Amino acid sequence: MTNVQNEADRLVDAYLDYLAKAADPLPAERRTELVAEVSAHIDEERAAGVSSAAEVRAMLARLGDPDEIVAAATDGLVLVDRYRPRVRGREVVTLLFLLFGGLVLFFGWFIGVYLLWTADRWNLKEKLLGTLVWPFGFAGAITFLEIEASLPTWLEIAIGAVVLLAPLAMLAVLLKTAQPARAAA
Amino acid sequence: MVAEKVFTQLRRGTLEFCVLALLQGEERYGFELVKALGEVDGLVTTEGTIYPLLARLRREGLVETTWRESESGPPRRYYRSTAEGRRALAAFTADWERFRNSVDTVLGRGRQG
Repeated sequence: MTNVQNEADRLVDAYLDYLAKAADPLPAERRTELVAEVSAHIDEERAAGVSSAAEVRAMLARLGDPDEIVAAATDGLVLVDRYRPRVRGREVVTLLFLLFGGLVLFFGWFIGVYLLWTADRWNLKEKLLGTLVWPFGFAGAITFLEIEASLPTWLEIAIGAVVLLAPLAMLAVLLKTAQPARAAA
Repeated sequence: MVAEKVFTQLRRGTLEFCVLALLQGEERYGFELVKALGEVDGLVTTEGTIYPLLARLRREGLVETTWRESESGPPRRYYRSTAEGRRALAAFTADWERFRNSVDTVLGRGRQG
């Protein structure tokens, strides 16, 4: 009899363990609640007479595959990714440091680069773009433009425009492409 | 089988209103509710999926819950419909009747034709 009891307990424990694991993607509160509800259901069934291993198996089959239960719980949550903000404060700070960090503090740009490369929102190409256009951001661009060169005025203006607009283009690209989990953080 | 898929979807869409219907003017605890639904032919295939559904109805304010002591075992969470739940059910019922009649009419026509 003890063995029968153990077998039934073991089945229930395994089921609830599996359910808890399957429910891992749910917010903690919902996961706890779901497992508690299903666990209470099982207790009610057992109090109402489900006792042998075969009866417990049949009861768990009626309850259904834990994955299916969790799928029902995520019904309203499937769009979770879409609701995760694409650009959070962290990304804004990253981009500000990349562009203006060099102007405010020389090493500010390095902070931006560090944040950029540890971010999960951009892939390798975008990270390279963010780093190379331009090193030290606007500080780099301005320093570059201050280099004396004997060029026709129109060419200087054209180069100046390209050099100053490029970081803005980079900014636009990175804001547009930022997506949660584009790269492993 | 195509029909099976259709009924899975239909069940998913209509079950929450069946739950609401069982909670009009009467409060029930989860297990009781699951068993009541289970007794209706073809409505519930996996009992466990009712619990997430109840949680969602609660989040949406269509049902409210209270914990009550039970004579045997731990306290139970009782569910009852809110006024909003009643309104949602009434709206669904009207639409459902129209929909059901439309489908019946067309299916009946097919059978005769």
